[in-house]
Amino acid sequence: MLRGGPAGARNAPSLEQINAEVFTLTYGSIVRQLISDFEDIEEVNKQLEQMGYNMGIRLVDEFLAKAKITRCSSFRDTADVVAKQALPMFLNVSANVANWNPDQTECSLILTDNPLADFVELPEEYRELKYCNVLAGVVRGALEMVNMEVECRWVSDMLKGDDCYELRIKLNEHRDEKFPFKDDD
Amino acid sequence: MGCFNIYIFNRQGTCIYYHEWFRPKSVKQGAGTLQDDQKQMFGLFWTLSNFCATMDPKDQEKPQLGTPRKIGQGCKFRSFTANNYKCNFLEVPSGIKLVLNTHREAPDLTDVLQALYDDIFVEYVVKNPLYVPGQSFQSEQFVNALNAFLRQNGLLQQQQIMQASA
Repeated sequence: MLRGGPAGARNAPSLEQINAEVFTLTYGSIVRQLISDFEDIEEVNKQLEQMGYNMGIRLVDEFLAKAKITRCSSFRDTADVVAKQALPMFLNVSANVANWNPDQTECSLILTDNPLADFVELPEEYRELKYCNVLAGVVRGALEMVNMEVECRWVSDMLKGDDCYELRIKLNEHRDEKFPFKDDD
Repeated sequence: MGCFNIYIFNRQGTCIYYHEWFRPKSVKQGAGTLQDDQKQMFGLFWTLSNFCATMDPKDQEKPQLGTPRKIGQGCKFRSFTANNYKCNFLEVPSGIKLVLNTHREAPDLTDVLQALYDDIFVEYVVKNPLYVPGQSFQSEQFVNALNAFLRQNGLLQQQQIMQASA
């Protein structure tokens, strides 16, 4: 999600690339710094999610400009677009969508590898840390800008010994366009 | 000839950017204040989008007039032409709305507006770390890129730029 490239480069259509290791190590040092600043793992998790949210609300415009998708008519389409277009575009990984619930309001995004967590080992005292929580925040922020209120949480994490990364997305509300001004103005 | 003015709105109806190149009839004679003018423009866009969605002849399930639009349906409304000007619209799924008033003979500007969003708004505004989503912004780079882009598309005459910067 970090956009690198030479300073002053202004060719819009091409997507600027950044070295994957620089990205991973930068993220790792951000998490390390947050842990030493806050010292409370729950607080760190919340901060990571908030950072992700702030990124997501801006990221969605860039994604819409680059991917040129027009509309997603349902949550199912949206989840597919996130997994098959957005994640490859920004993180260079693709994800699968699975485990739909009968209402079509909850699904899981399954990632088999995650560039944020390359080279990372989670020690025992940080068992509660949700290392990739920033991704959950990004998805929440981005979907909120298209009026879908969702909750995202990690259900499996390879850093904790599971065999894949699974992000559970639950749709709370698909809001309608609301006229923001009062009618009697 | 050329462009008259541009408005950029966000989902909440705030006009986050307004610029005019050529507006001989002052705002006071029209809506009263700039804020009212922007609100009215937003309301106009809103109503016309709902109206177009309801009147669409090819739509399988047409909503009733007055029901709120869901985001997934898209904005079917593109432009209208009046006596002296043509008003072009674009709405993006994230709620950003671009309104560009040009001269009557302008061709279909959907692609131009889309390129404006893709290449200029996203590049210079969204990627700007000082931009707070939801508030109006000032960005010289954005203005320069906007003028250059519109001039490239033949929508801005040299004397208008002189007038605007005067």
